[in-house]
Amino acid sequence: MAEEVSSQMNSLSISETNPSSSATISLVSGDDIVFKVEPTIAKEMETVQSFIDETDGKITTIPLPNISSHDLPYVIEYCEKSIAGKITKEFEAEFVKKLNNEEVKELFLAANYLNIKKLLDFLSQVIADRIANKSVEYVRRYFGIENDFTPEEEAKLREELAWTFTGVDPDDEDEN
Amino acid sequence: MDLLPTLPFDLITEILSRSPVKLLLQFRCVCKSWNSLISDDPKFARKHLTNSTTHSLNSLGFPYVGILTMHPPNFFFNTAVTTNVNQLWHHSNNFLQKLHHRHRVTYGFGYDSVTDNYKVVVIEKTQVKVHTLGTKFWKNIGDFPKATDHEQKSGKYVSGTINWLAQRWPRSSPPFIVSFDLGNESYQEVLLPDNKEVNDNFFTLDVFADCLCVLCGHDVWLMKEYGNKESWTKLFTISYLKDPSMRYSWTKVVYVYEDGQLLLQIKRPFVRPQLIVYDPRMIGTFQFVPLEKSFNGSRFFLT
Repeated sequence: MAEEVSSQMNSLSISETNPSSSATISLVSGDDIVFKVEPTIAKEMETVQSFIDETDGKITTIPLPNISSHDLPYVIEYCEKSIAGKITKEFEAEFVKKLNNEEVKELFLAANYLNIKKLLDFLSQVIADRIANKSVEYVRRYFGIENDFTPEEEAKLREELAWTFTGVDPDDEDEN
Repeated sequence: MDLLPTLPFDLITEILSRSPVKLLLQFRCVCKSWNSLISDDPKFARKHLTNSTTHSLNSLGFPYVGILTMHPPNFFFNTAVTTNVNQLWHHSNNFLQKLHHRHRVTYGFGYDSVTDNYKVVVIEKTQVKVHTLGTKFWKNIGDFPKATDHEQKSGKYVSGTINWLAQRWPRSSPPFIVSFDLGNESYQEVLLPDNKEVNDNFFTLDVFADCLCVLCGHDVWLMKEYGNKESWTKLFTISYLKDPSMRYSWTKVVYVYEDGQLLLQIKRPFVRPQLIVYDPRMIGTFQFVPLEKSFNGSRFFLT
């Protein structure tokens, strides 16, 4: 399984990058699966690149204990598209279609850990869109947040904000 | 749902800064730290503003979509979303409540890049007051140009200025735009496109793609370069407005779809407002949208 995945990723990345560039980088997921990527891909991941730089490029195997072998291929796919300048709205729509809300969150954490600004920005918007029609309770569960309001405080706040929980009435809100 | 490691707060900030205003207000109920982030953190407010404009929500015609909204009879301005506005609200509450029952009051709200802050402008007849966020007073500014007629309640925010349609007496003189520069707190007049065929009463002012936009008769004009009269460009004609039954209608651009279609709100006397999806490229094509459907997207909030 491990070999199969890494060779697949390897062939993918070679097709997008310059073959004369230096040795490939091995990214090791938290569940010990090795993904070989071109150095250009590693460059997209600031955390990885700074690790390589710090060791003057001597170390090319990078452990990523916080990232699973489920998430890493998505990250690599996104970075490849990004290098190729092929991040389109269509690609992004297809990319997230495959992911459920929990997976989006995991990937978001991975992007944060690897410090990939573009992916982070993109996934922030995805999550923002996905919670757009959700209740306060769902949002608490989704983000693992404990409600620290007293029931009285919450009731008061909800009363103050009651108008935001209802539909918009075009007859009353209008400016003219 | 599995409990994954919770997201660090700065990541939550990233997400919330991309959420629409109405939703943010609801999310104040999530927990105390969210409540204070959304209602008391100027940095967050600025971040949200930046992201809002990036996603071209300005097409909704409000400076910072829905940050202030008319909500009579309780308040002149409603509670708003961000910190800024909450502070602003507290400080301006008394002043505004006094104004509330008077006629001919108009207001504007916007971001001033010179001071990196928000300002509220309130105009009553010709008297102008400006409030800067974080201060506790209202500053009197020289009078609004005399003999003007600002029918629209809220000014339109574009590139650091708030804009109102205005007209001198007698009515036969051409209308123009009064523009208030939030940076230097002064006025200038901005000229409308020449359009002699059109009855002056039919101008409406809006913001479209970060530019001033006027609907004039059945034509939509865009001022591509702010303040430059020569840059007025006729974008398209809304063909159905030529229909005599639409003569007294009032149209507003509510939303611009990515494919160039427009969501328009049409009001006619004695008829409930209607929403129309209009494709400027297909002459005469439009469809009425049932309200539930069109207001589903939270971005249509407060139009």
